[in-house]
Amino acid sequence: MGKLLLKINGNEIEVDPGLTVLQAAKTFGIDIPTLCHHDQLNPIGACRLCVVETKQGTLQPACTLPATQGLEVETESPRVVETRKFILNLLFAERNHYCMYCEVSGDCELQNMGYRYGIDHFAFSPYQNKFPTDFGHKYILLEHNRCILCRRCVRACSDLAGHYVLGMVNRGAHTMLSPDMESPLKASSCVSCGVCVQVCPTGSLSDKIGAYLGKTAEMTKTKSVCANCSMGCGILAFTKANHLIKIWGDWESSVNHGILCELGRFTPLYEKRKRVSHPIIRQEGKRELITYEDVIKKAALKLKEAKNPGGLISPKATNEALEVFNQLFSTSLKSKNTGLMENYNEKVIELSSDGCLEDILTAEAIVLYKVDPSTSHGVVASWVKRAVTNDAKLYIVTDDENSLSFYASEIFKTSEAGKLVNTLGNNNKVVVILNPQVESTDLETLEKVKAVFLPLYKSANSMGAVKQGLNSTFGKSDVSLIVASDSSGDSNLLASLKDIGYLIVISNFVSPLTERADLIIPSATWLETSGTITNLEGKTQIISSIIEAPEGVKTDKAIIEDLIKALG
Amino acid sequence: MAKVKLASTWLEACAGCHMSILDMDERIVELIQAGVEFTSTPVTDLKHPPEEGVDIGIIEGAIGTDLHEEEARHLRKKCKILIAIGDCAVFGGIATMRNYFSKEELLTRGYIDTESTKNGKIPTSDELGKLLPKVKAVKDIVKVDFFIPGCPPPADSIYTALKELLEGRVPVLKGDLLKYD
Amino acid sequence: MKIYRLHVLLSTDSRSILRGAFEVETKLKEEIIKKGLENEVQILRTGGWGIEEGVQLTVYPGGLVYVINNIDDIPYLVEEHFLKGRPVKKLMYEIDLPAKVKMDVPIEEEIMKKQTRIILRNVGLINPEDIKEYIAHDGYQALAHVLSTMTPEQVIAEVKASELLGRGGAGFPTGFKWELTAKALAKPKYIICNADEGEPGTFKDRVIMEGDPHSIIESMSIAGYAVGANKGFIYVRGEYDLSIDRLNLAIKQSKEIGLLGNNILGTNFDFDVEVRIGAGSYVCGEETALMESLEGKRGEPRSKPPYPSTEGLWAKPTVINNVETLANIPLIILKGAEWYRSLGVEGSRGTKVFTLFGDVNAKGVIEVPFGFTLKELIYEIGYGIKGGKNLKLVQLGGSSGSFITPDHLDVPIDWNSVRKIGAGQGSGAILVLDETRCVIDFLKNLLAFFNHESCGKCVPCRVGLPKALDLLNRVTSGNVEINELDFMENLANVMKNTSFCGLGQAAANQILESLKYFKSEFINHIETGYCPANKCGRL
Repeated sequence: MGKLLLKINGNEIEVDPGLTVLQAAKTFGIDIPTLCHHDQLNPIGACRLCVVETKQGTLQPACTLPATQGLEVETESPRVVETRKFILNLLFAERNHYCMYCEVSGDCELQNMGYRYGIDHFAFSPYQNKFPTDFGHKYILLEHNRCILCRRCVRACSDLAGHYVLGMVNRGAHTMLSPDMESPLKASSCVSCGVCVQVCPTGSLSDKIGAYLGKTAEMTKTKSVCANCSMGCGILAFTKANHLIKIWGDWESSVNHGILCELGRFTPLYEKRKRVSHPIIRQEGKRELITYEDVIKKAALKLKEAKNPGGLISPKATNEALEVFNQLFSTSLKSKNTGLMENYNEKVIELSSDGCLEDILTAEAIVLYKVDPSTSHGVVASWVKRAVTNDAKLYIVTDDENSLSFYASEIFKTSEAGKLVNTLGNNNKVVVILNPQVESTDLETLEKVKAVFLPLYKSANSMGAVKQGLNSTFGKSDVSLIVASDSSGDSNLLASLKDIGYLIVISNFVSPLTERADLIIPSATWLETSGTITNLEGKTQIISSIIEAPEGVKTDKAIIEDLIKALG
Repeated sequence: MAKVKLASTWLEACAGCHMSILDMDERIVELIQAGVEFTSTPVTDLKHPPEEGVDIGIIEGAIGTDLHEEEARHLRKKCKILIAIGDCAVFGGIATMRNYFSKEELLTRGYIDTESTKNGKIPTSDELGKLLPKVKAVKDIVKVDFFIPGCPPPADSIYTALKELLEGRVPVLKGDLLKYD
Repeated sequence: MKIYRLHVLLSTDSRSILRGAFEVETKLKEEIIKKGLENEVQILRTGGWGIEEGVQLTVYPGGLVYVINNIDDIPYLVEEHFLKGRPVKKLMYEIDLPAKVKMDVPIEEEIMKKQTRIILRNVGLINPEDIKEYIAHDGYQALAHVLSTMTPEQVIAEVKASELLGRGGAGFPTGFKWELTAKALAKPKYIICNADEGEPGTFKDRVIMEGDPHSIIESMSIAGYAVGANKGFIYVRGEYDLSIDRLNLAIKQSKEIGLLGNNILGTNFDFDVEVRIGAGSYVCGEETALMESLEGKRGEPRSKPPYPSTEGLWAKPTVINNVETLANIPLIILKGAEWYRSLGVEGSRGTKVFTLFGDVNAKGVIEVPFGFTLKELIYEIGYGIKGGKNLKLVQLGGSSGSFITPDHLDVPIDWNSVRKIGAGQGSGAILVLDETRCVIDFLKNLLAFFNHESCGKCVPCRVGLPKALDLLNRVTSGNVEINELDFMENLANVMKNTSFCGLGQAAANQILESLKYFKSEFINHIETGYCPANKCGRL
């Protein structure tokens, strides 16, 4: 189809078919004000702020009006401006929009519209009705007094994140935003993905920890990638004075399209674990502080003297750190005794070579094989829910509870997994989401299924580590180096450490691992590190340092490089 | 040159807006040189606008008591142009928080139930204004000609508005001059 | 088969049932048996004639209409008329003119003489709970004809040729609507009958559904055949218990004899109809909100385009027609488009069912060809204004309709003429207000209704309505300035120009028309605190 010719504010413009007037205007730099509209959401034309005047003299909302051949509109005609002012006045008068007691003043889209249209007072006395507040949720403040009923949160919660928690109850002037049809947010089925907070144009939905910490304009924004699971969701981190204030999903990310989960959006803000702040050496049962130069010298010496030095690294480490780690052992120490803190079934890795997260959204059938993505990979759970609402069938294989059971067409016990092959028979596009640590016996069934396989690795750079050949366990050694990142080591690892001689631990936090260590070197967290990580689809992405590490604390890569240098 | 007389008052307010007036600093002198005469204002400490009236009246603060209402009506009568400055005068402001409670609840909470109060009682002197059921913006009581919102409004906004009026133009606040917080 | 001497048609629409139709029936039967007339007099349950009085008994031969308000009158009626053959004048339908006048001639000769019953052809005549009666009145003939001799294209062509316009209010050409859906590529397709009759004072669809439910089902099947749909939904207003019951019964009966289901009448056409019940929301009468509700979502209108013809129910091509529109279809098929076009006037073919109510002598449902003037409807068919008073205002088309002042009474009621005076006939409700009514009081009631029914989606309607209502309340409590009327007009204009759907626009229209025609009444209220109608309760 050819281009369409239309006229906006007297200028003839040519656009591709299928756009709304709002979109068409935007491509030509004409800014039409909106409130209920959000670029990521389907337009609903609720607020009527974006009305434009057509040649026929009607006022039409630009967000839903299709740009058609020959259309002529004015976006700021006197009539349009007067109407917008009137609508803004109606909105300001509906609930409580006194900016000075609102924590998002300065970041509020309603306020910005007031400024833009020179609203210097309220034409109507505001209703002096008090609306409820719902502050019981762990992370989210729901302040109905600020709500303009634009339904961005409702659409984001359902259409983008697939959770369908938020909705509207009652009607007319009594319309209220409500989780789960009049449940408090805390008691609702909310999974704390927080996308509602990200899309709220006013101070109606805000996050507790970020509230009152200043305006977004005063914050530094850093694009990065979340390292709390292996999905690799794009994030936008807001910091002020080297403090992390809030994390948003990056709308431009091709992995998560702006959606995050509790782990990605809120957990990092609530980090309470004790940092390792200084290098420590344990001598004759006593722990003493030691300089960074000395700890590197001591560690290098110990590794050099070792008969059989061993190394273990966290799959959260960046590709660059993994590279120098490999170099340290293979080149400097000539040891093959290295391993990864988590290990995966090699067969699963083979099976999943061409898996892609987007496949979930277009699948006809989805199998969750011994995984519950809600708890570990929240955005995968979102995609599954969205697929199911799009008529995909969900089958769950598990012997335990699964938080997505509600969405399942059928649930199989592990012993019945064989039935899957028949059940899936007719479906063209099947996605199997599985635990990468499944047993080989599980795979006997799965191999018979024609499907895309997506193993949910636990750690951010599991795939990177696998690609660098690190998917192995390390054997006994007399001097061991563990690059732990934020891991505290699982019970198996801790048990195996009993037989180990000298232990050097590079760690973010104080943990049972560091308790056991003879040398402790503090390292920067993922928030303080730049580099690349490879997500479960094999997509390599850049993570950027969001905040600066405490003084004297270096990244894994820098520490290992220093060790290599010290080893000569 | 003809004097432009100005009177101002504060009602249910914190005086912050008058601080902003003072914040015009040397521009106050400029205004005086341009002919502005400050008659009754909290700054000059004169209580009543001159009998013959003033050109510009300025009200800071919301209408919370019958005395506020009376004073607003009086100033309206005495001035040609009335300006509401600050969020309280323009929107009702912080004081409207009490609109969500009854008068009794409010006074009991404030004078008796306060954690630090022992044997408290609600003051009843005749000299005190009687609380209206709801706090209102000035425009809900009398006609207001210009609004300068802000908590407090920037001194620049007040200066610009007065300057524009002096020069015979209708002040329009835009950009940084218009703010609600 | 027995041959009876007298046939008594008992009105059993919901209004009559509330007034004791079944008690009347029991008593009648008792008396008839007492007098030994059980082989001579037959009682037949039918829908109502649309007359808004008592329980009606229409006795054939003769066609005299009795209105029973007290069952103690029955023994006398049975003895006098049924046994002795002497009609009982004191029980006959009575109209104030302004003195009470008995309608003592056959219904066809007086009450119905100006009416042409096409849509209501069976209402009041047949037992709606018996499919055989419908079939005996040519029911399902049209469907049989369509399935056996016509292609879907021919059906659409016939409906197009009839120039039938949708009776839901917008007057969109029905044949064209069907054609759009027939041409849409996506599948499956759906037929929806919009029976969410929520317009205050409008009850024509109820009368059709209660009196002739099979005609809806037959028409939907024909529509289904024409556009290629195999599933129909009737979305009925939740309060219409009897309509719901009768439609469900009709569906059951049709299924039993293969007029619904698979391979209808031995053809390869399958069609099924399901009744869905609304939950009491006015805005769900708007077609897109209705479809949202049918899909199980919150009943709020969608933006158009896309239109239902191509993306309707579950985003599939959907024909959505009003009850009254559908009821026309069988006769168009059986008698032909040519015949149908002979009724009504240019641009408005066929007949229209109106509900006539308010300060009028004969209230009820009437059906006339397009082109009657309001004067004829009110003064001839409605027998004039109650108590001989003067007319103040007619609200045409229900709460969402338009104000017609007495100087427009000679305008014929057809789409074009009504449009010319800036009005619309909407749902066909004709509310008559006499000179003693207060417009502000009336408007307040209207706005309270709209405010209650606003869905809350768009700002102008959701926030504007409470503001307008607040202002009106201040008009009647004397706490308002004259210039606030300008503000009210402003508000109404913004609501009219920017509201998402017809609800907010219609509400605004009521304000604008009140101000346009009766501004002096507002000013009177404000300035003198005087309500000419003594309604506003502050004197």
